[in-house]
Amino acid sequence: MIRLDNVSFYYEKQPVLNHVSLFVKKGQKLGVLGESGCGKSTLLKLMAGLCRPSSGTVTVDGESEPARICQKVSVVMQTPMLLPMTIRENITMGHEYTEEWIRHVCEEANLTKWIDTLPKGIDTYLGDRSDELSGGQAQRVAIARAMCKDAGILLLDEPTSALDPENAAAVLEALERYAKNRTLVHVTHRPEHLKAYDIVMNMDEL
Amino acid sequence: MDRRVSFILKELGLWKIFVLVMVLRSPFDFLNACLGANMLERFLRIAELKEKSDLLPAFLTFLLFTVLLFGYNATIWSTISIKADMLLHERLRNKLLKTMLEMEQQEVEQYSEGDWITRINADVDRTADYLTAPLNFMHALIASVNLLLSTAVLAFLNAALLAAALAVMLPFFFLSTVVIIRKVPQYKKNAQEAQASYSDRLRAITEAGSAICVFDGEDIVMKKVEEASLRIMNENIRAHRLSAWSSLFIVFSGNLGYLLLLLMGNSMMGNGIRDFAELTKITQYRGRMMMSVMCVNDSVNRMKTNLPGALRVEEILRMSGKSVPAGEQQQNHAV
Repeated sequence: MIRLDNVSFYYEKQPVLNHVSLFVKKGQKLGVLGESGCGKSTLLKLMAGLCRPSSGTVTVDGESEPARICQKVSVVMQTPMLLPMTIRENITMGHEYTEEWIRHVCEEANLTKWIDTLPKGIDTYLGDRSDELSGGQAQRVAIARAMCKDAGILLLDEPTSALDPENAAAVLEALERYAKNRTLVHVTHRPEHLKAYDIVMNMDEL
Repeated sequence: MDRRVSFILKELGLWKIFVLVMVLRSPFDFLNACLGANMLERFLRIAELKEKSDLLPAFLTFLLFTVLLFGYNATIWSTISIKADMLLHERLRNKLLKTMLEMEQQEVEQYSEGDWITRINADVDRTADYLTAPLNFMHALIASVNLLLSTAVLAFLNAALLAAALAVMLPFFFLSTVVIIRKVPQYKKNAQEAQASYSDRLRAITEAGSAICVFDGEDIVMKKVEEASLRIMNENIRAHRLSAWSSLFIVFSGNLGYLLLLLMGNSMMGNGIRDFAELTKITQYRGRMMMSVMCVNDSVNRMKTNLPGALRVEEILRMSGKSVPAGEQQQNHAV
């Protein structure tokens, strides 16, 4: 469950969000539309506990403290934000998971085929230059990471914006399959991505 | 000087000013050695012969030479040397940046951002240190001049004492300057590479702050940063350990040589071959000679430490001119 009560957010004294209220029930899918700079990424950051509202309250699964909200959600951002570690470490972020679960999320994120071609498989070091991966590969690792956390809420911030149409379709399909019984918030500027969503909110109309 | 570093000087067009700085500074140490040795001999001789009236003129003469020598060093030489140092820093950084900007994107991407930052900052500083910092190339050369001249004077004053001093010193000098520190450049190169990797990790962490927060990755990220930091430290410790051993051998050989000189000098004085003032003068020259040996050893040591950084700069400068200049690229693609 996600609830925003009269939330405002100011960046360097400029209002980014003004008195926004919304409620997303457990298992519902919320689509957020809007042009660049309308504050939709800020909205997602507030829901992820990555920033604190200037006024109002954000409650996620009963938690309103940003650090605790972080624990309740999984996020896939526009950029994959991979770290110079192995694929496994990027997916697990150093937490203990069973081998079976890790294999499962790699399969779900369409990573298995690619990983199998690598000499060291999932233990391949992505290097200090993880940008050498293709956009699709990197984003799929980020998706596997989000899936691996197994949080009840999945937040997506234009996860396919840097991908070609073929990769974008595959990534979206994987994400929507994963989010079937979860609460999903998807921020995008493309309405066609939000066809089967329970609620669609247009930030430009706020 | 390593020929690859001399290539850098040539590329920067700073050969002439560097030769000038070195020529102007080279005689200083030897003249200082002569001044010290002769002053001591003169004062001891005056005391021995009880010629009190000679004391003041001798004092004033040596004072005048000392003021002239150090005054020259502090004004003329230091002004030119500071200018050369500033030019080196400025031209090196600009040249490196210019080379990078003229490269094709593919060539730039051969190296990570952290690698570029390390090359433009730390490696440029290492190159400048190699050429101008104390106890590097400049001092190695100046000390070598003093070493040669002091050795020649010592050979003229007493060849037997020189032979004894060299017999004790040379094996240790070879061991210290050639054998022990040969692995230092590799360790320093490893440390520079680890530094580049560390910078890349910090950059990635800064950019992935949100992901680290949401996926509770602080522990693994800290572990990775500590690993990179530990690698830098370990490589530096290895290099420092070898440098310390190298210095120890030189100091040991110096003390051993001094002991030998006292034994031989005692016997010479007993047999009336040399008097105390003469022996003091010889001891002074030998002391200056040993100081130069130590200086050469320390300088070679530090040059080896700074060489990997200079070579990373040279590697980029060698690429200069291989790529199509940025302006031409634009023209080629212009419609």
